[in-house]
Amino acid sequence: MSEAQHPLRIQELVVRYGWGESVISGVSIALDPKEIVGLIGASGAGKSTLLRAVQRLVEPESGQIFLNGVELTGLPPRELRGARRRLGMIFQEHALIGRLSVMENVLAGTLGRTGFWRSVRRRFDPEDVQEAFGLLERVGLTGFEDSRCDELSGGEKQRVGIARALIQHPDVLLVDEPTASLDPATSVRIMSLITEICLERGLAALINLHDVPLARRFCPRIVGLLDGQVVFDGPASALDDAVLQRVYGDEAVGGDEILGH
Amino acid sequence: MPVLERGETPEWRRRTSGQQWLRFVGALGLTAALVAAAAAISAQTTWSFVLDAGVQLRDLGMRMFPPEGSYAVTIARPLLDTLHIATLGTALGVLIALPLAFAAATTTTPSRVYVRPIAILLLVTSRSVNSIIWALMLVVLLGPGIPAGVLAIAFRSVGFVGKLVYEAIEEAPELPVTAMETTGAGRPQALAFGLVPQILPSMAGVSIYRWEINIREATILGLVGAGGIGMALQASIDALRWSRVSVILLAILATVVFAELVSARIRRALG
Repeated sequence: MSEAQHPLRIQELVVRYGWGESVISGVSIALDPKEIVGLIGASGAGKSTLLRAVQRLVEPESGQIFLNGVELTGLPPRELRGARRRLGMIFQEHALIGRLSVMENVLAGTLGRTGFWRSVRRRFDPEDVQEAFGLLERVGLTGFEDSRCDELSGGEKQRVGIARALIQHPDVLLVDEPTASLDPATSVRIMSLITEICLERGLAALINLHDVPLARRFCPRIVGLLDGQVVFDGPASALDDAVLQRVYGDEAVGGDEILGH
Repeated sequence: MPVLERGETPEWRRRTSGQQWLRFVGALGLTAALVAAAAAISAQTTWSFVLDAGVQLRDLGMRMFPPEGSYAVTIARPLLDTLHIATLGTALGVLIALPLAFAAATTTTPSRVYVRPIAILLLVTSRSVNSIIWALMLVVLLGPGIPAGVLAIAFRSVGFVGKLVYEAIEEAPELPVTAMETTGAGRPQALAFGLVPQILPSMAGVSIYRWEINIREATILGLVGAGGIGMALQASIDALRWSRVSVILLAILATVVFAELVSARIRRALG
C-alpha cells in the first residue's frame, strides 16, 4: 500500500527518557483506513508513551511517524500544531478542565483553529458551537451543556472527552486507556460509542487498553507490546493463550486469567 | 532500624536507642539555651520600669477615657485614605505579581535558567522588605502622602501574591494543558484556556487575603508619612491627645474587623 493510503504509519520508532533505557524500541505499526487497532501490553510496556510520541508530547529519538503521508517527527512547531489538529486524542483521566462547563470543554477541541483572544473571550465560531450541540447529542449529553465538568460521573466525563476529540475533525483517533477509571458496564458503553463513531466517520483509531477482553471484543486488530517492542500483530481472533503469555511476558499467568474467564 | 532481632521474636520500637539519645541531648540543649536567653534578657532589663507597668496602664487608660467622640468625624477622611491605599496597593501588587508568578512557576516559566531565577529573586526581595520600610524609602523618593503608601503596599504584596500564585500554578494538574496542546493550540492559548481557570479561585482568594492584610498594614504607614490614618495617630500621640488616640484605635479596630469579615465571606464563597 502506498504511503498516503495509511492514515497513520509508525516506522521504527525509538523513544528514550533521559539517558535511560529506551521505552519504545523500534516499533512499527501501520493503520489502514478506517481500521481500529487495539494496543495491549503490561503496565510499563510503553503503550501510553507510544501514543504521546505520536503526538510528539514526547520527542522520539529516532524513527518516523506518517500522518496521511506527512512525516511528523521533523515538523517545526507551527506545522506540528496543524498536524495535531488532525490527531484527536482521548485521555485516560479525561483531561477535562473541571471548573469549566461541558460546552467550554467540547469547544476546547477547536482551539487549534480559534484565535487566542476569541478563545479567552469564549467567542467561538457559531458553526463550531452548533457542531458542539450536535456532538453532545451524539454522545448522549444533551442538556448537560452548562454543567460543570467536575460534577459529571466518570462515564459522562469520558463522553465529553470524546466530543472534544471529534470537534477537532481528526483523521485518526489516539485513545489512551479510555476505560481505566470506569466500571465494567460503563467501560463497554464507552468502547461501543468510540468504535461506533469511528465507523460512522470512517476514522482510524489506535486504542490503548489494559483490558484484553474489551480489546478483543471491540478491536478487529490487536497489537501486543512488551518492553517497547511489538511481539504480536494480528487479528483479535488469533489472540490465544500462547500469544497472551508472550505479550504479558510471564509463563505463570495463563490466558484464562488475563481474559477473565 | 526500629525492628530489633533479639532472641526468637522480632521486636519493634518507634526509634532506635541512638535516635532516643539524640532526642534527649537535643531537648537538653534547647532547655539550656532558653534559660541562658532568659538570664541575658533579665540582666538588660530595668525591672523598676516593668514593675510599675500596672500603674502606667491605669494612667494611660484614664487619659484615653472618655474618647473624644467628635474627633471621629475628622478622621473619616484619613481612614478612607487608608482603605484607598490598601485597595489600590493590592490591585497594583496583584497586577505586577501575576506575570512574575507565571515566570517563576517551573511549569510555565519561559526559561528555568534565565527567567525563573530573576522572577524568584524579585519575589523574595519584595517579601523580605516590610511595607513600613518600603514606605520609608518611598517617602524619601516621592515625598510624604498617599502615592508613597500605595506603592509601599504594592511592592510588599508582589512577593506574597506572586509566591502563592506560582505555587498554585505548579500544583495545578498539567494534563488539561497537555490536552489543549494536542488540539493544536499554541502554548499561551493552552495555558489561558487549560490552566488559568484552574488557578482562578486561588488567585482571587490570595488577592482578597492580601487585601485584608494590607488594610492592617496601611493603618501604620502614616507613622512614616505615607498617608492615611497613621498620620493622624502620629499627630495625636505627639500632641499627647490620648482621648483622640483611643478614638483612632477604635476606628482601626472596626475597619480591620470589617475587612476580615468581608475577606472571610468572599473566600468562603470562592470555595
